[in-house]
Amino acid sequence: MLPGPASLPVRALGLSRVVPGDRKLMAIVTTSTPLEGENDPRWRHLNTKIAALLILLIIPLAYTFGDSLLAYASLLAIPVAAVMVFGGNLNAKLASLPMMFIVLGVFVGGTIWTMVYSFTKSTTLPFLDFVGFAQYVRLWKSDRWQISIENLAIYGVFYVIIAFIVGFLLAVFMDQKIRAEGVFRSIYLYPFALSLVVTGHVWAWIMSPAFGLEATVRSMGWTTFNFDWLTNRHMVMYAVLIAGLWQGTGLVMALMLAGLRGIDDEIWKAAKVDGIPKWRTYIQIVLPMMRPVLITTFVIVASSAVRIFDLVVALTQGGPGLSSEVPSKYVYEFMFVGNLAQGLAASTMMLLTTAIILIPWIWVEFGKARAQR
Amino acid sequence: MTIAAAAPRTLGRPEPDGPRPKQLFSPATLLVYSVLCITSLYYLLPLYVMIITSLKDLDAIRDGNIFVPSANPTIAPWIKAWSTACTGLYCNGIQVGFWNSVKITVPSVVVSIAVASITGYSLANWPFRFSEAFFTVLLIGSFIPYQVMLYPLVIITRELGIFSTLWAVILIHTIFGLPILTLLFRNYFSSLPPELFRAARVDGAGFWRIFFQVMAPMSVPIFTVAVILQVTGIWNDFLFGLIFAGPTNYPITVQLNNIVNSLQGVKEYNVDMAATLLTGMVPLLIYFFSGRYFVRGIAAGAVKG
Repeated sequence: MLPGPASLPVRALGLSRVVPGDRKLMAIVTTSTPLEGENDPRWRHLNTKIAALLILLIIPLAYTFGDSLLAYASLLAIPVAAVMVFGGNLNAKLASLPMMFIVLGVFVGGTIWTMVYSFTKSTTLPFLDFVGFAQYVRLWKSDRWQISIENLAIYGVFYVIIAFIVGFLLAVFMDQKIRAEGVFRSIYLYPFALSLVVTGHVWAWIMSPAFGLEATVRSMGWTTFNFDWLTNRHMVMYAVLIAGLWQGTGLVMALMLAGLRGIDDEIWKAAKVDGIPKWRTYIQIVLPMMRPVLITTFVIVASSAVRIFDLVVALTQGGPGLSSEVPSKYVYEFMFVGNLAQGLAASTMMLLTTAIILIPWIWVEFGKARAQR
Repeated sequence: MTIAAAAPRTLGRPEPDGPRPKQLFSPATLLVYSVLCITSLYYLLPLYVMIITSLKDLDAIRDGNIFVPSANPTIAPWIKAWSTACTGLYCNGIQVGFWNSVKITVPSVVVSIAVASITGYSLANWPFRFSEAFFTVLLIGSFIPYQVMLYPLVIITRELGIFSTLWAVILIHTIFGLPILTLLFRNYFSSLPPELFRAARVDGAGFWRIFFQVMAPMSVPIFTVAVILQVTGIWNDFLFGLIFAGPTNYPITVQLNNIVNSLQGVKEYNVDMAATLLTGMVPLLIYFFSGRYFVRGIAAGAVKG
């Protein structure tokens, strides 16, 4: 796939000048030390200049114009400028400027901003009037939030467990050297390519009591058949679950299949020689070996379950009544109707939930990094 | 491997060769195929129901079975969904949302991939101090619920004067596409043989030149994966379109939701399903024509190298 060195679109300028014995040049070429950059005093000079300019220009600009965005940008410019000063290639750092500003300004700054303002009594516009944990007390006293959290727990737990079991089983069946594997994989995975809004509306139609599955089965003769989950307060979250699983199991299957394919054939041969039945090999040998894949899949699946929004909006609109409300919907509906701090407090709780889910992943990633060292 | 091993043996004395022929219908294979086929039915059913419902007229829907196609299919619901279905305020059909989505998706895909590919290239080939720290925060950040960063982004776009415009959505998609795309590109560029990069540097090529003349031409597969990932992701987005695009730029997903949930007149399920299919059409076509790259994209995003 890769073109050989001969067809490289690099002009062989100066290559003849590299003498095999030229140690200094070879050292530069074979280590990751940049050619231009920290070794070149001119570049370092320019780096410092640009960094100083950034700070010296933006900060006074921000305060003379009193523009809050510029003030914020100037705040971010300080760490960015610090990064620019230290060695490395200037172009690379210029090219990474958008990333640096997004990381600091949106991912870090935005999160801190939300957390700080969730302790204020901001209503339509944000202002710093701290009220301690009042928003959180109000949040946890609210029926709507309690229902939302309960629904999220039902959805999240069942979603993860069922998606894992079904996804793993499908992957095992797909792993039996079957014909038309591609066809089956396409079938299981295509819902994942669809929008959750599309998924929601399709299942709303299939599960609609008036014309959908219930009416159809009844018209075929089974007149007592009951499938009113969409309008049943106790079952509506399970209706959401059916639609969510239809969309997401294929992804789990694909990830698990990739994990199964990563298991060395020798393991299988050894298990066969030892006379271990296939199902036991899967459960007792292969599954523990897939731990990294399982953890990554868990983090992806669980953190996407916490975000559930589109599906509920399209499928039930939170109804009947408040019975299928979820936290993200709570955030959305409070944040933009004059209850800003309440919405921010709710979103901080969502962040906390995600943080709990992320712990195993961070643990594994850091463990890996330590093991490599 | 097996051919090479078997060849000398067959020269001496002909004997059965190759793996033992598989029994076509052993109980185990039968079980595997029946499980796969039955589960496939569950996955295919909604698509089937969507298609046949969108081809029925309202009478056929009222007294029919959702699994039985109409005796006399009609494409009228499709025409209505495309050009005259009502969203509550206007009755211009889902075509408005369709073209809005095109207007959002094309620039968002281009900008986000341009930014992410260069960032990934910097991280992979020109690491600088703290570059890995930034990248780690970026990756962790991609798991933060969007709701947490929603209001700060509303403020930022408002201050920039682009809130409720196309530019705001493009910016938002660039921001939230950055983690996964950077990961994709960084891992790809790191997997290329480092000799290429070194050779180019010895030849005097700089940062940009190596990117455009060496790296980019070799990265067509990963650019394809990125385009597919972003087109489907941005096309399917609902939340950002709803908040940042403004009513005149609502993408197709928001428009679809408004059409289906509009309370005017008789509920026309066939039109709703046609509109739903029209919304799902673009990602579905992309998926079926490029399944391999699609799978690669989600696998690359999930199983970190």
